Amino acid sequence: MTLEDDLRTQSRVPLIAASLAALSLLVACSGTTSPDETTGGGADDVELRMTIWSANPDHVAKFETLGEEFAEQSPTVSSVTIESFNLADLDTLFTTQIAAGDPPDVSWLPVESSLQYISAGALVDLRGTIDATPDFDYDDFIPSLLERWVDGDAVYGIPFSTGPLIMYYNKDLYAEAGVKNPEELMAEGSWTWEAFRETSAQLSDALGVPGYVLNDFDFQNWTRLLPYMEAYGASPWDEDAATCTMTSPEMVEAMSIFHGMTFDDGSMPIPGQQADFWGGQAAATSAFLGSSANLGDVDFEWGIAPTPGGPAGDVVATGQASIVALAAGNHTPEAAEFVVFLASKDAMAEYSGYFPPIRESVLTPEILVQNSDVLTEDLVQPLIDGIKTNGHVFPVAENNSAVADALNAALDEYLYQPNIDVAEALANVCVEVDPLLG
Amino acid sequence: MSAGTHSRLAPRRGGRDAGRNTFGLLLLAPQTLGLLVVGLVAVGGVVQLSLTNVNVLAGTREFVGLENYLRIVSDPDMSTILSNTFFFVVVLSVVGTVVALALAVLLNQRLPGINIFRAAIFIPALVTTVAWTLVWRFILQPEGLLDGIVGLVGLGPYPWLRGGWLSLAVFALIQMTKNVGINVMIFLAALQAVPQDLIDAARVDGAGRWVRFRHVVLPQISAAILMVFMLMISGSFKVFELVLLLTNGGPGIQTSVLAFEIYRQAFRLNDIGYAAALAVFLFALVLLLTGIVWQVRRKLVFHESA
Amino acid sequence: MSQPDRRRSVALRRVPSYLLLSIIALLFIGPILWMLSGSLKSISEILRYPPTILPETFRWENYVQVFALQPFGRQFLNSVLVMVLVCVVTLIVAIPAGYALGRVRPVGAAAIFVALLSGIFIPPEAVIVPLFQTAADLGWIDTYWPLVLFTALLSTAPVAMFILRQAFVTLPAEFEEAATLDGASRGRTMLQIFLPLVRPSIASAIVFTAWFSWNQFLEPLVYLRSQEMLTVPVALTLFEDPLAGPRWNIQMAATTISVLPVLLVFLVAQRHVVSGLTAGGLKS
Repeated sequence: MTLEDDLRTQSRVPLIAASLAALSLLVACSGTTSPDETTGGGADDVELRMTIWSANPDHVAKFETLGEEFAEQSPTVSSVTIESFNLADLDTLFTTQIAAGDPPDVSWLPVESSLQYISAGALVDLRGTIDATPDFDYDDFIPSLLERWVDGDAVYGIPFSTGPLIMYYNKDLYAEAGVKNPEELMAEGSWTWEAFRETSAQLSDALGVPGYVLNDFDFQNWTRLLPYMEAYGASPWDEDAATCTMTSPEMVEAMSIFHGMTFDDGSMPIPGQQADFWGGQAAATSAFLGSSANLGDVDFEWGIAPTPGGPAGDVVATGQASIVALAAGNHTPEAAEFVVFLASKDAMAEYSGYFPPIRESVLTPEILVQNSDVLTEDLVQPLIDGIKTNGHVFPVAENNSAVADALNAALDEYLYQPNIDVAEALANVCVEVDPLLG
Repeated sequence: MSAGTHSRLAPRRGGRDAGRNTFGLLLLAPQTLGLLVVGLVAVGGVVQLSLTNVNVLAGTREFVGLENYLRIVSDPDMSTILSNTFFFVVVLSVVGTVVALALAVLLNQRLPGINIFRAAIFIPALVTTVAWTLVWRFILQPEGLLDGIVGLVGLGPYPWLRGGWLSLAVFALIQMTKNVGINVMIFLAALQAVPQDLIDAARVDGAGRWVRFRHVVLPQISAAILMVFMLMISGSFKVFELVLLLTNGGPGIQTSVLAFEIYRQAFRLNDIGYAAALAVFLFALVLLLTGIVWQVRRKLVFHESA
Repeated sequence: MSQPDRRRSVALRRVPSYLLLSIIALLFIGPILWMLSGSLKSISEILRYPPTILPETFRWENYVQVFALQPFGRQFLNSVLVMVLVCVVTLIVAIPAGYALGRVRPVGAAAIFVALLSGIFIPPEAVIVPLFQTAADLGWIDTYWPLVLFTALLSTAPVAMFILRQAFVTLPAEFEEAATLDGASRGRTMLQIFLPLVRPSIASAIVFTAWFSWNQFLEPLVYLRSQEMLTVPVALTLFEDPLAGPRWNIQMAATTISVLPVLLVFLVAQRHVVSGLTAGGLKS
């Protein structure tokens, strides 16, 4: 009995197969809904879905309560469901859900994705809803920190969490090494990258531990290098995100300091090495304000400070995440209303204890330290001032995930290596990144 | 009963017995129909996607024919990605099968407490890839545990995760230790199904251990070997999770594999059209590979008479 | 040789085996033990280098946190439920299929076999989009239908069918002839005579299917929405603070919790697989 015999005697099977194929293709094709289909109003049982990347019961409960409040006062919305997901899965989830026509109505969105979503028309313009809401007080939002979500008159998202990258340092280690810590450098008026580089090197030589480690960097996350860049007025691309500016003199200077600290001074960990500041293994780290929660567990004396300054001043690099309404959603008017509701003064005061706001009236020391066991109003005041006057949100490109991917990969290949010429390395990086910009 | 008297499994001639055919096809119906529907939706959907250029966020979808496939051919990264992929497929299937078999033989002994060792080898298969990878990431850091161990024999620290063949080998090791347990289980069952009297007869004939293994045991378990081998081939694509968690394909694309590229294109770069084309490509490659293995099977697998 | 001498020499001969086994087992169990110790540490202690083997303070509260932060007990049961359902569906379709291809051999058997097997070669990352769309259209989101049916048909049933076909093929034909002589119908022959003979292979198929379903990440991530419906692998990634990062220690505690019961089941099932073989009439 050979395979050929079997094949020759097949008769009914192909026919059945063909009809099933047709049937399933029909099913597959019929599911393609156009994403900008909106169901008109009139129904009073709209159920909204909001996705957040926190599974913390306190956070979830907070937004659920706000959702209930909103549903009660809304004539059309009957309920709001809050779903948690892991930020790393954002792209996977949104891609599959939008492609299938079943995306969330409202979501948190990181600033890294802002330009991409806005250019693609994937976010709902909230301007109309904002204008129609009395007492919204749009001017309460610090304009310089809204930039990434605004295009002309249109407003595509309301930032709910704007966290500065700040410097945390280990007072004990500095004392042990007999080296000036950031507070002392600040008092002297010489809180710059160069000075910090020197003291870090001194500390590493004395103690054999890294003087400085970039939190959450792992040589895979270029945004953690922004404190260097901002201090020198450098940016990976220009204002329009159309050309790569990694080769600018400012950037070369900034990256030279980073490269030097890592590979020449030995005061920062090399690729793959792990040093945990919170465990007392490094003298200083730059991390988001939110990481201050870890300070509760540490067993050394700590201090916080803004990141060092440079020729461009004391610019504070901030990350950001906003609440947006997805245009592909099925209830966009109601979704926009919910976003605006969540952006009102009262609502923001509810959750800004967890997430730093950019509403001036809510950006107060009292609210910021509300849920913190370790931060005090005195500690936080200078940081608030920093954000207000010098805050600068991460630069974002249109095809951000691709650009970030390429940037990270190119930096990994060219810059994060010992014994290289920084200017040359950055030129190679631009070669990789340029095609993806604009 | 000795080896020679296992009856030949002469299958009934298909065409003559209509009742038999109906019975057989009826039995096959659930799985066949099920797979047909699901498979066609899946594969049909993917093929359809591969012929389009989709921007998920903008909600646009345009038909571009074979453009995505041509892009695969002209993509400069593809040669690295493909060679990495083949490395894993070959290493994981060959080495993986051999290692699993060796372990199974080792664990087939009647030693007291052998179950503890069996469990030890199986546990990593139950742990999630994230957890397993986190542990290994720690072990592999510069001047970490692994560097310490090789340092004991005087070998210098190595850049384990910095690309090149070393990183690929490391990934293979991590993947193998995680999943070998399941293959060992399958082999154990197969080894224990080998009729003891065959082995005894061979021993009586004066055959040594290795000869007994090669000429009696191996043929009896050859079907299991084939299955594990084919499972390893298809399973070697799961390595993409490791890549994702450890190096993100880097530095550059040095540790990227085809499955990772599909994931990256679909979900990071939102280019599901191109990702779909890559997936069809992958599917074709796997089919080809397994088809070759399957054709060769007749020479290797005992009991396969038709 | 006297009795004690014999026992001693047997013991000595075993030492190399135990040694080898121990070294190998260490490679596998070492990381697990590290994870166990990590589950009792604080996050910063986990990342510390040089590593501590025993935690400074045994933070048993990590285990409490596992259940406080998420409905983990429910999520564990969800994983079990899905696993059982996938096994059931898989066996329902694969046993008849395996029998048909292994013994009955109707027309087109070889081609059908190849076609059925091809399911395992379809890369899941690629087909998730069309499958998800179909599931959404059918209203199956946040239910277990897509998870069970798609997985069973595409991934586990083909393998189970392969295993069972192999088992059926290697059985001698005498049974069938004897049964036909007795006047048994085809169905009865299959169910009452052949099925019990392949118990160990069924056990193997179940082990593989259960393991596959248990480890799935992408599918539960995409098809399930609410926390109460999630399965363990996805739930583990949610032990993360949005601002401070992943809580490794709690994730490890959760992982430990989820592994232990499954391991117990495995140890128990192991005996059945072995004993099933001796009782199956294969060693005649």
